[in-house]
Amino acid sequence: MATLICPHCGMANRAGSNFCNNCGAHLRAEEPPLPPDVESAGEAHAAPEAHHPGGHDAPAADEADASAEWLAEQPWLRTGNEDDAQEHEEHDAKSSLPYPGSGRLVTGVQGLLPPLNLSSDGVTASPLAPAPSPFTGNDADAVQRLMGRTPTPAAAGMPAIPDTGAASARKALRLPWLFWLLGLVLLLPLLFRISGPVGAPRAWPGVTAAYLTVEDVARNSTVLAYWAYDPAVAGELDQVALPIMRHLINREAQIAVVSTVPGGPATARRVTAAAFYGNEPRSEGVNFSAERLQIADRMLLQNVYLPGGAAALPLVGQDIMAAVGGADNLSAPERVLPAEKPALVVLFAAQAEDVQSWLELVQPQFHADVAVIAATGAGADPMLRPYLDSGQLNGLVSGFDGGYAYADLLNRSRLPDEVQRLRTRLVTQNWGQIALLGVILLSNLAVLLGGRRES
Amino acid sequence: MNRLAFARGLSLIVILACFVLITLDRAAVFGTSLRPTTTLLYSWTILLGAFVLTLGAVNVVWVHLRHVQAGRTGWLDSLALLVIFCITLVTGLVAPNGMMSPPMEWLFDNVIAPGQAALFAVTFFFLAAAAYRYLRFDRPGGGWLLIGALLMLISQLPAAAPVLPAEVVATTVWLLETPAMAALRGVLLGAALAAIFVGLRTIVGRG
Repeated sequence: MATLICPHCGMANRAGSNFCNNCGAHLRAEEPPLPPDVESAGEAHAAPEAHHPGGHDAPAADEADASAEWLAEQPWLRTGNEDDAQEHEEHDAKSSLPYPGSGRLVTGVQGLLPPLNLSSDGVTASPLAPAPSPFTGNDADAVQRLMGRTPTPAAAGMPAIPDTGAASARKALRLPWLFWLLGLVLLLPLLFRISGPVGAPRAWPGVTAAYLTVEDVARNSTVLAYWAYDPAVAGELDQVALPIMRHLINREAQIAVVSTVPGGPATARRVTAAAFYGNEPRSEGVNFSAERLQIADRMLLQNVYLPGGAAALPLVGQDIMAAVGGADNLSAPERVLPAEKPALVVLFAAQAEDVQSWLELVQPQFHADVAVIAATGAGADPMLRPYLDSGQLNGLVSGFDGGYAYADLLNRSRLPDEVQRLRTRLVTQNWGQIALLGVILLSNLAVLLGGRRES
Repeated sequence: MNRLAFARGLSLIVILACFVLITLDRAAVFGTSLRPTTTLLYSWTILLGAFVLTLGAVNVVWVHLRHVQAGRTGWLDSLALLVIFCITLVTGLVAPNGMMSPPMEWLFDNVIAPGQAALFAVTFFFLAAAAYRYLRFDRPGGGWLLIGALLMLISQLPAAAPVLPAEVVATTVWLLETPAMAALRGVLLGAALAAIFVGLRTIVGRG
């Protein structure tokens, strides 16, 4: 199995690759013509050594062996590029260009940036050496600092950069004790039932708009819920989804759920049951009884998983019956999903990409008739704010803060055990955030005391 | 024409045909007459997705079966994966209600959900390690990054909400809604343009 070593970072890539799998640098301009005997996939086991210009990077060779072994196990993953003469002809034409990738329409990392070549001055060009770097002297130093690390002198001819102590200082980071300390700080309020500080989450813009959008939906209307999260992030997202589902149930909405994650429908059932019964999913270690889940099944018009990810979504906007496999609900045959457009769409998604996919692929097919609100994780919030400001989203409820503020708007008096759970959560959140603040302060203190070795 | 070139040509024709059909349908050039065809294409996407999922499961089983057979490093983990896979598969197939049968619900509540949540919880430690390494004032631009991160952290701290001056919160909201949002819109636009170029490259067979 022939491999191609990235001149930028030293990563072993499969022969025929255009870009480095590790750093995204352009590989084709530096790729030497491969001898036909090395190209043959059948010789993978006979010549497992990586094709390495420098010949001094043993880990890269190991990776190449592992890669060869992996492909030998799964021959169907081969691309066939290895024996494609046309690719080599193209490479020969491109290799004469003055700058790596300059002959292409789209070059560099993700097609957005030209590749950085961090070699130093005075390097004699050889067939295996990288092209002359656009950065020289102090510029190269500045770029290296900007990248925050010392580049690997992987390519032949590239002089090794002397160790100035930065790398050894980085190795000296005492992260294990930091992890232990963080874990301890998070466990403290739980183990010793520390009751403070509590405070209250701040309501960010978009929550009230979401609440009013649900409030405007006529009773008994069909609401389509796109369920794009599973138990991995349920700890946060359940707190956002629960008050909204409660609100929808209060409004007697007819809820149909479609999901593009395998664990989505099961999570939707649990949140629906919790919203109906007023408890929390997985709270106090109590699982859901079969009866409760069956009631949740009957409450939902549909609850289906769509394989295919975002590619399957346009069908939901175009023909929801075709998407959910007909209107039959096995749990409640008397309940039929109407073929017309829903009155409201609620996007329960942990990642901004899922909301963006819906807004770009499905929502245009509903035109402006159907309101849409998003319930997302706090991490997705900044990416989705532009959609809220432009009016593509009618409301945005994100993170634990958003869920808390939405529950407040529901004017629902909280039960004593719910108040207690909420209090514990707030206390833990405070301790976690204070711990993170402490880590940042410690890090900067270390820089002050250590003479800025990390620059 | 060799086999690879033929396959590439064929897939290029299929991609082009789908592109033209869906574009014409979205533009309503022929009214709704193309709608049944595009609906069929999208339905095939779902079928293809299901097939790919099955293929992925078969691939995982195959790879780990080979690991166990060869006794490679970590073969015991591979064996555990195969055993759990078999238990889940058989339970789902044999139980009368399939995915909604009590054993499957038990597996979901007690194995899948806590396992996934535990793995995701590790993110906090990655975050802390990243903050320790990179949120430093001596890095180029690190001071600005540090100020922004501290402002966001403090303004989102529930305990700080009652005592935090309104100006700090207003500054945070301004940072989020003005410079950060301008940058994010730039990123969104750039990503959209990149997606168009990648799509075009795929369509013309240069992807």
